[in-house]
Amino acid sequence: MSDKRVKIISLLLTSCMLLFTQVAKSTIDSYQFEDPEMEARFQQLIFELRCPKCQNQNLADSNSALSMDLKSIVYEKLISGETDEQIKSFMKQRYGDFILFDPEMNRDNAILWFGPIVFLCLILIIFIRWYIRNRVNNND
Amino acid sequence: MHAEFGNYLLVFALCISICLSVFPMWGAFANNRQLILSAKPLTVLLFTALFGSFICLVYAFYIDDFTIAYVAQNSNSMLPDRYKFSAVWGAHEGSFLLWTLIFSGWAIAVALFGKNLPAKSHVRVLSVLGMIGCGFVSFLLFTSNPFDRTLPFFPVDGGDLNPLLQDFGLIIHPPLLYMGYVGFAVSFAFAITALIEGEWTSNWARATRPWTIAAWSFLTLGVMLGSWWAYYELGWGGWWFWDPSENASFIPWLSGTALMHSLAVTDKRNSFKGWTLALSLSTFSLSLLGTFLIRSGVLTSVHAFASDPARGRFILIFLALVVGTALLLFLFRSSKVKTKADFSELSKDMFLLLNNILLVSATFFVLFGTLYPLLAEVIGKKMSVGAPYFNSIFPIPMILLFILLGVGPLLNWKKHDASTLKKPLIKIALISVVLGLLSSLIAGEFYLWVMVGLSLSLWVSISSFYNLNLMSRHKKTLSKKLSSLSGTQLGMTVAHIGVVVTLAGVVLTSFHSEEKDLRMAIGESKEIAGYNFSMKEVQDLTKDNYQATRVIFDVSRNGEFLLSLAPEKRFYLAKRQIMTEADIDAGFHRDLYIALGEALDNSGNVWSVRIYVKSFIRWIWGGAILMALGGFLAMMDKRYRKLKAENFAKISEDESKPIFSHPVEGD
Repeated sequence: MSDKRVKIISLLLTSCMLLFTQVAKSTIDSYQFEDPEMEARFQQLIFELRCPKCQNQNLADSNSALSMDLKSIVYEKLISGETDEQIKSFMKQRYGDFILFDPEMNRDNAILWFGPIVFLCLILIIFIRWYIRNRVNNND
Repeated sequence: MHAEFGNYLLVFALCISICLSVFPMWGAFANNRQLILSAKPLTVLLFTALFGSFICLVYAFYIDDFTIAYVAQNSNSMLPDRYKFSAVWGAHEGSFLLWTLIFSGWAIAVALFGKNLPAKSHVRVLSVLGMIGCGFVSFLLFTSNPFDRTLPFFPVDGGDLNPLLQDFGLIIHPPLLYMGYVGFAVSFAFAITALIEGEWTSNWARATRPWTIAAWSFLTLGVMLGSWWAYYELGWGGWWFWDPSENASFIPWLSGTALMHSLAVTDKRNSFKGWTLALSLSTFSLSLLGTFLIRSGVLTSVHAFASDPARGRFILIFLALVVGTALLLFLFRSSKVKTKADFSELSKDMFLLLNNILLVSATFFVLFGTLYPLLAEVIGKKMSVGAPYFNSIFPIPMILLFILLGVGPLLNWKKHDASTLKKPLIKIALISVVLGLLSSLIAGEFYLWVMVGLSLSLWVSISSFYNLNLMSRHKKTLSKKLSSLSGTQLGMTVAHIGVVVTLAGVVLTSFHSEEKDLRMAIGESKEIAGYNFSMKEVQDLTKDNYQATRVIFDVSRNGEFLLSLAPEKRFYLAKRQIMTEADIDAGFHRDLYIALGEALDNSGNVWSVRIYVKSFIRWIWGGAILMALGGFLAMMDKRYRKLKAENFAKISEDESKPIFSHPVEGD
């Protein structure tokens, strides 16, 4: 991790700590959605975003101060009409790819997304070729 | 005293396992009867030494001996006795001692029940187990000794067991999980022996089968308990997060499932030998890899064993040795003879092979996704691969697998006449799609995934019942039909139905659960999924090692009172940790789940709460129990007991008689 990023994160952490008392009192109940569709998007987003300072938890499951803060950021951005993509790329800009539990499908990650499929197809092809070549004709 | 004694016993166990790995193997090559006969007593001694060492550690926990670092870190004088017992395996060192003890338990079981192998092969298997034992015991002694002392400045009281682990699930989850993990060492040892002897016959496969099925059944239960524990103890209401620690147990499970099926082919048809051997070797290697990933701390997981690079290095070297030896043996010894594909497209052989291809791919999918963040870090990128990735990629091989699963068991070996199956299968397919559609509509809002999942579940279960009926078609009454089935047939059917019960549970839970985070005050009530939750009162209580605030909720439906739920917020005194204890009402078609968040005012009358109504979540674990049950049924099949040493191609000169020869001592 670069020094700069460490600084940003620690700055954020401290500010969250300071804010914590207020955040804890206000966040959980304040996510009121009039539109159930937006609520579903909110749930999906906090499911897909990783709590940057926890071991391996998403925002939905984590109760850390930082993830509470991030949850309210997600909420405010949703209410102000930003799209899922905008919110995700905002988070990515701040915390890097690490925050996305659902890795983007781009050139860097092509191998992640297509590697397994290629693997499956490859062993299927190898098997079929083997079968055709070594086939014993047992026609009745 | 007990600490030194336990430590000596570990050293003794190391000596014994070195002897076990050398002498019987040597004896088998040199035709030395004394050395061959040493295998059994050495195995018994290994188990006894490790058991003694384990008892010493249990005793240390029991008497609160905080001069032992491991006890001091993981226990506390206020800890209730049953948790002092389970705290023995509450962290890295002790849990690895348990792991090694269970491993030696498997070894002793092979020594006692492996008599159906030719005498020489039998002792070779034990010898290979001894080699693995060397690795495990030296790992304990050199990197994770549970008997290290805190002397001379020992703490007055211990640091306490992690409150998350003070729970019934933890008492039984690790032992069962380890039974599964190290159980695959047995099929590994069988495979290595077969490679050493250069002879891998269908009888070898038959002898391996019950051991593999046993290990697999235990692993199934272990994985299931882990999922159940995470669900009720972590207070998040999820049942699977694709966390590295979960994947570490799921990867060998998938590979073990493939192994079980390919062993069936080798047993019945004497083919796919190389493939089956490779799977035996890789399943255990994947167990070890999982251990490495979790215990070395290279992957961040919610399941944090204290990580230490020395441990990681040790396991990595051990893993490299195991995999390297296995691979070399495999390359040089497995026969180069080309296998002929003497089966038609529509045959059990073909479907089992396809099953293996899909299961091996699934294993690879999970393994690749788990390791990818590590690979990315090598090129300097920090990234996460989490549940959304696995959820979108894992169903691909699974759906194909479930489609095949409805057909495969009905087929004959080698060749099947398509005309006899076409009609019933089309009927079953139509019925399951229609019923799947109907039930997914009844379940509430329509989701395609729910319909697909339910249809596949129905497809497999109807076809399983149809198959049961076919297999016992010559019998008239139900009881006669059932008793005419072999353990394998019955076990297979039960396990297959188990898988699809889990599948149905997974899709229904994922799509039809209601989850709400709410702010609630005393006297308020909320309506979720037709249930009315009203917050009644707040109580304070004091227990042995924690204080708790308990909030009582009354649950009613259509104005009728159902039950009360009492989630707690606990404050554990020793580590000054706050824990959430969810309260759950388990049900056949839904769980009611309440977990407390934070108190939102000073009086403690307003809380943030999580309320879940989880549809059909019990089915996930119920299915896993059925799978394990199926495994145990299949293990009991008479065929395995009928297998005698004489059946093997080569018969060694004299069977080992039960003479207790002098055990050969080390150094």
